[in-house]
Amino acid sequence: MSADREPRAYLVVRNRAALLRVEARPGHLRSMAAPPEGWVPPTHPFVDASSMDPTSEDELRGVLDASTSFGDFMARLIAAGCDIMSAASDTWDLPPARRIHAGTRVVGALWAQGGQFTSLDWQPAADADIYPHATITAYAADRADALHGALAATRTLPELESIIADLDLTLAPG
Amino acid sequence: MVSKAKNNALPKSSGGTSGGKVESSSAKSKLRGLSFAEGEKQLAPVDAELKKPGTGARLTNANYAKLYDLYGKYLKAGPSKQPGLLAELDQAIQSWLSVHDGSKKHDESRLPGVRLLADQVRVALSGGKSTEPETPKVEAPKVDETPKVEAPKVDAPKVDAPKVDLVPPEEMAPTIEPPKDVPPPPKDVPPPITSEEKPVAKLDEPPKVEDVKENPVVAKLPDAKVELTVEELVTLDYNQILTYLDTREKSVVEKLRTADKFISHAESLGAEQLAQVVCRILLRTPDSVVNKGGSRTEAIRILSSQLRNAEVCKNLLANEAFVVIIPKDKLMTDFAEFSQWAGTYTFDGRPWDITRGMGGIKTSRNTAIAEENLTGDEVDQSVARKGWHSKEWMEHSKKNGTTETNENGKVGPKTGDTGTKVFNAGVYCSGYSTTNHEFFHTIHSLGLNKTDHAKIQSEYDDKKKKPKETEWADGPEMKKDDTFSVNYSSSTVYEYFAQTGCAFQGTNVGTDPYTSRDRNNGRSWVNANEPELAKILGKVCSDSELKNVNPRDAKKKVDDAPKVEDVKPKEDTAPKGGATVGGAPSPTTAPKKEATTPEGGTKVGDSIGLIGQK
Repeated sequence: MSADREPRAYLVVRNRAALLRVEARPGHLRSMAAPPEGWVPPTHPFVDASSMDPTSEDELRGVLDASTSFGDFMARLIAAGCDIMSAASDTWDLPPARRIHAGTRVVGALWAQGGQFTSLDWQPAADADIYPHATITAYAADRADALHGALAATRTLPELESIIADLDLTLAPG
Repeated sequence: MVSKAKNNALPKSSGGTSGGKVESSSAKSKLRGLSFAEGEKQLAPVDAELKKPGTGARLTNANYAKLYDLYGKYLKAGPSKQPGLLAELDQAIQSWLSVHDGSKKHDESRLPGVRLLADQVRVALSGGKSTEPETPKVEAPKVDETPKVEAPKVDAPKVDAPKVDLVPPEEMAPTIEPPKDVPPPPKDVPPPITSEEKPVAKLDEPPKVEDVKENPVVAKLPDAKVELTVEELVTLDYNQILTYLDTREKSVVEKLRTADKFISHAESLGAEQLAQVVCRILLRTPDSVVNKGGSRTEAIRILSSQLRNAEVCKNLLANEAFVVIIPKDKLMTDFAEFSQWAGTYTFDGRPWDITRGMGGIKTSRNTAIAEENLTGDEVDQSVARKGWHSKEWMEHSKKNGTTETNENGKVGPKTGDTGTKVFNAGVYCSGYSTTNHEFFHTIHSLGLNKTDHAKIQSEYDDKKKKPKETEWADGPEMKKDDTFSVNYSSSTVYEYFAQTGCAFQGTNVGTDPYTSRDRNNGRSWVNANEPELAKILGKVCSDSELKNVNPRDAKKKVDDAPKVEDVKPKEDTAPKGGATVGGAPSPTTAPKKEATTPEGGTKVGDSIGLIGQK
């Protein structure tokens, strides 16, 4: 249907604001603090990341330093209360993230605004799989296809909420 | 769970007919084309049976999840695997539905979901084409293409659009809403004024008698302790208003941000006049700024050039934006507005203390601009801090207790301890304005409306899809060896707007730190390469580019020239805080030249370039 996006690109969000733009590839780390003359940005072996929020830079760098891989970094961010969405998302007036649970396990997040489906290990091309009624990121690989299918098969948020419930998943309130 | 009764009819494919496989299923032909309400009516007997005690209203069914799982796999699969997956899915749906019709063992609530999926499959099967024309997928939302924007055409797209009858208009509409004038205003109290800030000007001359006769309020202007009411202020002319704003305590001036009548009066005087007034309300010039008069004058020159839109001005006031000049011999974190960052690190490993600018933060609303970047001076050598190479080193030292109190009275590294170093504040090349850059961040976050924001986002997203050779404000996404590298302006949507804004203002001078390529600069470049952003920037900014910002090179020449003091007896007559004109600080006020390199003579970037590398 659509070519996969490589490298995968995401926004790390929390409290309705974008904190970080990340790509799953070796690259550089960038601050919102303007780089001074002659600045050589630090490199990183598994992530290319640019800050979008000075307030959280120190904390997120700490999370990154503790991570051993891109997937581990994502997992630690989610554990730290962040959520992950496709980089092709408008976050100016972002609604709250609603986490999707399978029992006690967080398997994804949903936003009540149009946007792209993505998962943490696969991403559609930048202009593909964009839906008008919701944005979903699947965190758990074993639930990604079902969540993708549910988003693609529905046209409204209530329909989607209904399908998610029927999949025996719990959607946190917005 | 949301009631399915709210759902309107299920989507009908525009083709109307299904493939043979689909038609062969009695269950599917029975259910397809029905609305949710009709479907649920047909299922009423099933419902009743399922709700009987012992039957269970919600039987679990792993096969249901498998259907969506298969559909997700189909969506993700390449063209070669899609037909097989589609056939498998169709078979699974038929199987599910036949079980439903036969033994009625399924959870009734899941039937509409399966019907929804069946419809998608039918669409995909019909014609053997991609489901894209029939699925709810849409192109990336673009503001000017949304139905709401096209709303004036009353009889237009909604009626003709396929499936529009299936979804309530309010749900069909893309999520981009009509522009909101103001982003949600923060609820908490304004941040405290930094250091004591005295009025920047004094009335040297009493008001003219004829002016006082014409308007008695003018007689109150000379007394800086007299606070005028809004009713009185709106009787003043433009110059009198500026006099008032320049002679009153900052707390008095800042109160005017909520005086709508006063702001409307300023707006009625003209766009440039409103900009000058708003600047004076937003700007904080601490008394510790070395060249207070010159810095403030230059800050107003630059900021007012970015405030030519009344909506932006009002949004910034409503959102309680502040701009603070950081003295060239102070840390940004020395000031209350930024003290929360003291002792913390940037994402790329620099201590926030020694950074020289910050903007666009929704939570704190404060913008930091640096004195030296306004006046073209060098940052004072005292603006250096002992720090750790990285956060890991810091935690290691704290754990082992090898710390000592630093210049800020906080926990700092012990002199000579492993993993520590001295960080020097960065400087920016002559002609590059961090004031311009940081304030564009603030305008982006707190000043623009949603329509402009969505346009900037879509322009950024579109540009990120283009080849690496594409020119951004900071050049292509290529290093000099032509390998890919994000540049500063392409790193995030915020830097995209801020750097393109600087180029529009003619202040994007120098080379990109990530690619080492020359930046693009000038309004003509932006107009030709970023026409959509140029429209927004044209609305926000003054009519012409800024000249002579951050005149470091000119300042160096002045400083390097033989000094009068070298040939004449020394006289300390230079007034502190002399005014600057057009960004060119008066030589008489120029502080002595300070070294920009840390110990050992290495460049600033070299000394801190490896911070935090893994």
